[in-house]
Amino acid sequence: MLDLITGNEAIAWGARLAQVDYVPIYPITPQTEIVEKLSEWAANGLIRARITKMESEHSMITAAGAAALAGARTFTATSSQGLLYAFEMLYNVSGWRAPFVLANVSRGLAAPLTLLPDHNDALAARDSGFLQFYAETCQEALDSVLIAYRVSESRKVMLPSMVNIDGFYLSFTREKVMIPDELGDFLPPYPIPAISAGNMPSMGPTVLDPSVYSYFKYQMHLAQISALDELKKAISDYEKDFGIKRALIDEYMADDADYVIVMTSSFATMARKAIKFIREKGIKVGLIRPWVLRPFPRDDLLSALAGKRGAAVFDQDISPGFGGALHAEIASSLYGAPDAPRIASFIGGLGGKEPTIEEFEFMIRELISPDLTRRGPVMLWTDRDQRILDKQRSIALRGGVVGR
Amino acid sequence: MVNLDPRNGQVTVAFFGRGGQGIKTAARVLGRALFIHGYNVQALPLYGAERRGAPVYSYVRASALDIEERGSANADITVLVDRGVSSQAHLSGIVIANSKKDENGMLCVDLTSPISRLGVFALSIAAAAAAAAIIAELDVSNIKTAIEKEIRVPRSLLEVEQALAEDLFYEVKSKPLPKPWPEEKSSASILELSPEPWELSNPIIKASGTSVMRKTGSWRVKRPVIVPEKCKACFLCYVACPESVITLDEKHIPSISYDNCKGCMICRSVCPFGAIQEFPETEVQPIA
Repeated sequence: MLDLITGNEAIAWGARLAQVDYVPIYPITPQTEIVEKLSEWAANGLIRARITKMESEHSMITAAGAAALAGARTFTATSSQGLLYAFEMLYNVSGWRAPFVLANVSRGLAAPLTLLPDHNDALAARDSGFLQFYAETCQEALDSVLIAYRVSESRKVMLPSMVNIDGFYLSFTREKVMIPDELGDFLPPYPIPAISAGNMPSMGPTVLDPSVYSYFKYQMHLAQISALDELKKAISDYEKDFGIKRALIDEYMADDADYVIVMTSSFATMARKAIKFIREKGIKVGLIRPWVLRPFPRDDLLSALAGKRGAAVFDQDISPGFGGALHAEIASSLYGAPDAPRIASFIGGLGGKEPTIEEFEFMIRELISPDLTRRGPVMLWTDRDQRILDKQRSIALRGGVVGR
Repeated sequence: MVNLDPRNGQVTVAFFGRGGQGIKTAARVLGRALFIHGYNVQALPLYGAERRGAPVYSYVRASALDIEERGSANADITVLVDRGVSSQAHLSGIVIANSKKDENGMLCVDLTSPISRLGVFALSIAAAAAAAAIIAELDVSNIKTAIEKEIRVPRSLLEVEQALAEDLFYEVKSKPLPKPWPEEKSSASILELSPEPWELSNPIIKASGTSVMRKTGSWRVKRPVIVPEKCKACFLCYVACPESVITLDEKHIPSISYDNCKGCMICRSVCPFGAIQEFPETEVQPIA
């Protein structure tokens, strides 16, 4: 069925179609509508999931992992400060090899405070062992949840997944979404049997020998690598069953492009508009948009970038003192590859700061004739941004515009 | 020439108003109407504080083709639901203003009075109907179905709201279209940020009483007005005002500074003599 729904509702539909058994919840802007929708459906008997309010996200993730190991297909959601509050448990549940889906609705981290999106929250968890999906559209949000269940629960993977959608720009934005009527056999039955008197797993052995600890962590990495194949199988079945095409790396006008913008998530749609504008000026530019960042799709990325003269990586995140995470991972993948394109690092979109067409054009021009003395990323900042800052500063700092 | 037909290319509608007025819901209703009609739609709200009275912007994009853009936009149609927000937001395209008076360059229609008669402070359906009236090919039946789908009220109230939307739809349709307002020019220059000392580069607010530097009264939805003949100079309103915007003259008669009065009406509720009246702000604020 085709409907006009928000990204939050699309995520909720994913959990509903997957017929999840258990949803531990804790609210936070901008994800709360996901768990409100699931609660409403449960109250009306439209889903059979048990919804349980926890007192914090830390307990919420603990409950999710425990339930998954006890035989329940589990879903939960959080954002930003909530994700960080749960942080130690993210590593625990992935170490337990508990398969479930966590939706993260991205929101910039305090301080300073914002409700609007950037990726510092999700990317902070990129080492946690969770698979990571970054959706550009409400349709992709739904597809990501369903494919995440399929891949997380596959025998060779058995790791939790994080599906990221941008706050406001997807969470509260209504777009056309094709919601499958039912999943058929796309999602096999949940692989972990329910606990019972004869089947009571215990987890969390005490201090392990370093060799044994290392073994378990290495196996997690190998499981992530196996997920690449499982993803490809899932994508192929998804297209067969529902007619919707997903790809580890999405490309837009990239075939004949000399230069590409590389970025993830909903702000990539803004790049599409900018690309059409820049092409009118005679520069062949395209978009390369990774959908999955864990497992890191190194081979697919390298083939997407093959033959390109330059790649401008837009990071909607920042590691103060270093730069952008996406750029670092792409640069390290390209190192030593024959004919690797020139790549440049740009930071933008922090706290939801919308990149303008001029900023996208600037990124491409920097690729074409780079400032070779520049080391480190360009932090995108315009005269309009400066005006807004000056105005607020004049109020915060005892009146008058502060001299520069 | 502004494009008002989604078959000719994307049409973007912006709603500007305040939290509590139904600005998000206006985009939902109009978005649903356009979706029912068969267009591709993207409808989104943008706001900072999640609070009654805070500025809220919402956008609806509609097109016969795929929509390949996101976020805030220069609009083909701007519906200015609350005049107080106009000083902070850029008006572009055909501007429909919620106003009883005629304003230069805007299509003026009173959205508030018909809604106030309903007893609910929800301008969403009025704003959506007004915008729908000037989008080519959009039917009043699309709006009425959209209201049924998006607004959850008892049947009797639903029919009243649908009738109201229909009246406004045809009222706006009957008016001549003003000239479109120009787009906001996008920023052109990329600047390099230099390191700034800690005193400037940390988010601490050092000044106190900074409300007076910002007209926080622009958030007001209702305005308290003192009736001097009934006032007994008892000081209660002056003491109770949480914003300290009431001052007393030499006879101890209070006056309210509207630059920072947020219209909480605490003064009115503590006055034992009924000496403070209440008016909807949309009736008194001029469009900037």
